[in-house]
Amino acid sequence: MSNEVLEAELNCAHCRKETVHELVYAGRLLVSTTCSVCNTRVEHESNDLWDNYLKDLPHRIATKPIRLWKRFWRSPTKSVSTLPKATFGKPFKMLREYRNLKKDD
Amino acid sequence: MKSGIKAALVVLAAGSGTRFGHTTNKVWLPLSGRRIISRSLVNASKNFKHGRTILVINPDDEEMARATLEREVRGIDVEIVYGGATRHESEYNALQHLAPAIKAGEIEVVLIHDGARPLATPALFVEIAEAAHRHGGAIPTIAVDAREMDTARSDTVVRVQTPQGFVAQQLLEAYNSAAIDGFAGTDTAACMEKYFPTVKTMSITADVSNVKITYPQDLAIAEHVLARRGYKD
Repeated sequence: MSNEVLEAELNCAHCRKETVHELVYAGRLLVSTTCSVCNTRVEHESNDLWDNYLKDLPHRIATKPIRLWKRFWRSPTKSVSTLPKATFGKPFKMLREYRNLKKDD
Repeated sequence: MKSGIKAALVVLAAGSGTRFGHTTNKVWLPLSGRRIISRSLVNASKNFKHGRTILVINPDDEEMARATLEREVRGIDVEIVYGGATRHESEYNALQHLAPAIKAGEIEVVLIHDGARPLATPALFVEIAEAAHRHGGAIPTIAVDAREMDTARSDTVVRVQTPQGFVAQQLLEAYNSAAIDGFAGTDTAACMEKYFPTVKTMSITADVSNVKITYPQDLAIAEHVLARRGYKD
């Protein structure tokens, strides 16, 4: 889930068929989708997205300990070895999310 | 409260598979922190005491499917079945997988659900299963104004969603007969209607929020609905 740009086949209202779309995420929320054929871009309302992001953030924080625990339980060695990097990288990741959300303001 | 009906919950996710190392099937997209298919699977199986959960996938997506189940659908025993080229074939494959249990009477009702509908609630699955158990079949519908589609029409028109539930034995027979005849229905109800026209299929009033992720906007709608539900179900 750490990827910020993903691809999926969705119907394009402009092409009137299923095409591959590029999807940009900030944290757990979708920021925009772009059709790879006609380049039609669909964006969330920026204010709405920011509001939703702020609403989602406490939920992310509250569920983090259990998610970390589950990750540890699944693969203790991998979890311990990647934790320092993930911890130090978190502020930068959140900064990227903030930029993704605010760049179209 | 959990339903005691012996149900098989078939979730279809056998769309286009992995390409160049990454899948383009929308069911594997994240939706508010969890993949669309994970939400569909958890909601489908949540309220059944004796449920068997079947995930129908494209063989190319197996690695992704197993990793997703391990990470996001823990605690539910999900059986993976390979789908076919069409929805009908995927349903047939799932029913063949379940055939021994259906013939042994271990499954009373089969519910078939589109994996791209992550917002169908656990309560809807139970409602469909109970109605199908009582009457033979049940499908979730939303009434639409027929004049929106055709101004000359005045009859009642409904938009059909999933999960669609039917008595297991008859559903298996219908799909076996369809395989012999070369018939492929547009959905589960179409196949049942052809081979068991007298079976009563109940129309259960559904919720408009049970969207099928089709257009990019549907993802945004689904995020809003989940936020409104407090990220539950």
